[in-house]
Amino acid sequence: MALDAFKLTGSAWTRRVSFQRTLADLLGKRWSDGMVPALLLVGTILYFTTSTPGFLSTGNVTTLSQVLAEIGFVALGLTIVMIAGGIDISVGAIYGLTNMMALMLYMLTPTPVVLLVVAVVLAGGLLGACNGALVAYGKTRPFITTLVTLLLFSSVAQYLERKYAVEVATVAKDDALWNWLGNGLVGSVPASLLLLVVVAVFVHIALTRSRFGWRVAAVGSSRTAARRVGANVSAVTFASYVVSGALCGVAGLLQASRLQQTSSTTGVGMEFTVLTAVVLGGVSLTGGRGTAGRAMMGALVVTILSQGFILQNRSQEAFSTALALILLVFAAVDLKWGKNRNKALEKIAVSPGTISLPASPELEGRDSIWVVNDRLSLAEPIGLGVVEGPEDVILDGQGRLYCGDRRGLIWRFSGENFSQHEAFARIGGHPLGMAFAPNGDLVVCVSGMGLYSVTPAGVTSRLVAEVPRSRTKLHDDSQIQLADDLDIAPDGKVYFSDASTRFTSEQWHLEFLESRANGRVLCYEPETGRATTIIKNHCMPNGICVSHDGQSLLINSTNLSRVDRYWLAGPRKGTLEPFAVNLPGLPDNINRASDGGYWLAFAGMRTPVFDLAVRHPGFRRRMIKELPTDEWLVPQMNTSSVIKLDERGEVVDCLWDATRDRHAVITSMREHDGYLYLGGLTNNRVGRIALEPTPSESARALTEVSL
Amino acid sequence: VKSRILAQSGRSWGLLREFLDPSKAGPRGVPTLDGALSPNDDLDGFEEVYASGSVEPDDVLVTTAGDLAVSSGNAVILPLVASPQGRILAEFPGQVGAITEGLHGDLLACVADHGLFRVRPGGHAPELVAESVEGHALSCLTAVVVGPEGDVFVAQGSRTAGIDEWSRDLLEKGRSGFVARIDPETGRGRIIADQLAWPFGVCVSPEGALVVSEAWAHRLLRIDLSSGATSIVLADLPGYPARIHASASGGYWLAFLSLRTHLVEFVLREDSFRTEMLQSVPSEAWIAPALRTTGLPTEPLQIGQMKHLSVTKPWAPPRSYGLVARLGADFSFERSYHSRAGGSRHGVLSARQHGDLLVVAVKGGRALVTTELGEGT
Repeated sequence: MALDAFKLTGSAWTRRVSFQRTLADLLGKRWSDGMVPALLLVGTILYFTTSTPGFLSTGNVTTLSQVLAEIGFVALGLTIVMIAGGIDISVGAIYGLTNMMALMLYMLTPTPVVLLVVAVVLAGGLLGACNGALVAYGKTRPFITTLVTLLLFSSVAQYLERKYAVEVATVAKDDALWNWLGNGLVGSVPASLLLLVVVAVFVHIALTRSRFGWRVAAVGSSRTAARRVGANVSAVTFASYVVSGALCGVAGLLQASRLQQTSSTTGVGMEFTVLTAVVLGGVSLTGGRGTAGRAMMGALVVTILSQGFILQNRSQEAFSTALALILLVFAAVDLKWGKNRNKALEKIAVSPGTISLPASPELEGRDSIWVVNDRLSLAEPIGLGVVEGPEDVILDGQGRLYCGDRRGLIWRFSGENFSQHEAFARIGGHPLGMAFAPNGDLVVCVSGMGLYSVTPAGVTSRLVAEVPRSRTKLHDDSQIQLADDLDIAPDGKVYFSDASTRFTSEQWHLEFLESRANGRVLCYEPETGRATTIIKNHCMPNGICVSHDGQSLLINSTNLSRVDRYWLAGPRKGTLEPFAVNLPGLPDNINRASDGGYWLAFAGMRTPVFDLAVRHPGFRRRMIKELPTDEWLVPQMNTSSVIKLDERGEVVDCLWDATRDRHAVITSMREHDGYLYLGGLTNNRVGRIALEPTPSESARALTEVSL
Repeated sequence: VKSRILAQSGRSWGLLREFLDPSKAGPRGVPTLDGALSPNDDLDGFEEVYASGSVEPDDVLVTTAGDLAVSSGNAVILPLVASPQGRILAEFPGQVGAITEGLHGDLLACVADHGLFRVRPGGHAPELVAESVEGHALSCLTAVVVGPEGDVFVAQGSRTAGIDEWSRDLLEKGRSGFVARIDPETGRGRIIADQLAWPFGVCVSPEGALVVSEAWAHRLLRIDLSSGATSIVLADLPGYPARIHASASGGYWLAFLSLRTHLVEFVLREDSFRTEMLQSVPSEAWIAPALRTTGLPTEPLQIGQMKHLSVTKPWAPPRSYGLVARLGADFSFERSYHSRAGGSRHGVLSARQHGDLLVVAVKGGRALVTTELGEGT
């Protein structure tokens, strides 16, 4: 169970949930398209159950299911065509024609029912193929083409009716399988509905998880793009009409079996009903968007409306008017939604929150430890002009220096004054924090990619990129978004920070502007190869360092300008306690010093106006909306320093680069053999300064001399 | 809480009005530098006259005798005379700002918190000409010019802020400055234009009208001296105009204090944030234009100003900027000299031409620089 660090932000618990953020998360979900039809469905059901007696009676529910099955099949067909970017007006006519064909075959010929089923479905497919061939290969417009075929198919149906209707009506025939198709029950569920569910699930899987489905959506979204990724646009379009026709055939068959009679008016106006159902379900009229499940939801609403109106003894006209209104509203909603959803999402995606920070300590003053000096200004450059963005630096047992590069590689410097360099490993993402595992592998946090390991030979492998998703969040945080720094405990476990579950390292400024508890601390166990969250809702956890005794973990929070101790062992195991709070800068990495203390890098400094902005979330929200990115206010990221903390968390030393020419930003430092090495996320070099011996060391040196 | 609700409802009402009638909403953009104002690095290439970091030139003057005079600190210096440090022409009881030459070769100087002073030729001590106009103390004089009839025109930046508190006046949207006409003999004067947003420069146009630069309103005004009518000659400038002086070719030299930025304009719209910032944050750390970029740890920073690979991008949103532009007689921009973000010649308050020589007082960059104006520049 992960520890919740939200209280570190000092905000009330009500701040955990933000309306804006919830809305943004909802808008970002693909399934949010289905929310309106789902609500409408619930509303319709509630309305009819309360207002219409007998609506929930067994008889009505059975009829409703049977009608739904027929409308549902046609709706599925139309959905596929519409996702592929077309439209099929002739679905009603195909439905009517196949319905008549099915009855005629059944009544007038001795065809076995099984064969009949196949024949009717094939006939439907064939009729659909007429549409498909014209649209896909004849390059005709879908709307006008299917309007013409609608007339054509219904003329055929009228002809057949005139010729055979009397004959059909006079024959009486009884076949168990035939009756079962339209009227049979499985348990208490109509067989036709069950068939629809099976087919709908199949269509859903086909649309979302098969190559055909992806291509259908691709063609509907953009024909040009689909062609460029290698989809056969004509074939996909053709196939969508064939499938649609076949599904209409199934619907016609079911109706023939259920009612055992037919007329040329069967299916007239059905295209309108089904189109309403499909659009209601959020299948886009412009193609590319929609699912089988949502189409079924739309079909259910329309069916309930139709049956409910019949029960209420309302006229067919009332039903048509209701449908027309619904279609009008939802066609408009569909257009606006598709156009503006991403824009709306973009506007509200960053939702500034509040954290409360005490006033920053004074930097000036005679006794202040923070007084700016130039002790880092003369750092010798290493890899000047070679490296770009060495966030972290580390040295191995042979004194070779490793650092990351924003171009996705790790450099290794060796030789006298580190004059030789080589690309040690190519990872692909910007390597951030680094640490050596006991077996000599270099374990690296890679921005946007997760935790990686590099063997001494330079072979990279992924350790972990995902953690179990948190259950209480709408936002999917299973991906490790911004692995930032790590350290390895004596037992081999790797503790690392995921500074933000929402933003990447290129968007770090958004993390400042949001000032929310978006980060977490993770633990990777080499035995299982899995990572788990040990601290959640942390505010931009950045540097991580195992204490000298291995009993606890020091965790930097960049946003909160503090360091906390997390106990790994001992009586307070699993709890957090403050280590150094209210620092004047933004702590980045933290590492052990040789004298039992800790080195900590300030990537930047808090400024009074940014601290003020942190207290004004509305200011930041409007700033993000109104100003171009380059103009946004951030903390002072051009001035950095390195500080030293003793084992109790007291600041004992502070090193600055007053000129800011060489190390505008310092994100990490590593002590090795009397030198301090400096890395910076946006620097063009690694710096090195010789450390003055500490008082105890000079005393020891003196003793040695005197001896 | 109540004031916050009021502010919120006011803002919502404003947004609604803007939505209903977008044409009524004021302009929110900042004009870009283009045409003759296209950025360059020319100002950084100017030659230093006075290579001493201690000088903070506020205004420059070339006397009829051909001497270069500079106001800096409490003194007016002749930098090219005698020693490498120059010669102090006169010392005043306060900080000297604008200087100009009177009709009889005497020096007129604006002294902060004191008023208008005069130094008669021949090494006399400074004498006070005027310390108030119509009962308003001349505590914040920003500019002085001698009119065609020998009258003196002065600009007072603000009635409430001191000369060094200009950023507070900007953030408070101050409009309490004025331009006054003073008789140099009696010291009496009257206000000819009032409620100006920090008038920073005055000069006389060839046809005898007064041209005033109004810094916080980013515009140039023309005041007709006979009728007293005020008209706008140039509006919506990309920066805060400072002193304006006549050029040799009949146009003007206009210096800019700094450029306008989206962030400052935004903060000017954010009333509650701005009020709290003015109350609780030290002035050098405000979100406001500055004479120079200090790099102090408390200085506000914008994303574009961040150094990458040890380089400051020249197109970064400027906290401070150096800009001098030449305007034609019709107030169209003809040529400009810039020192962009990352440069050092920031915070230019004044530029004057003497023959082929352009002298620029870079107060923020603590330098007095010149360049030869060749043919066609």
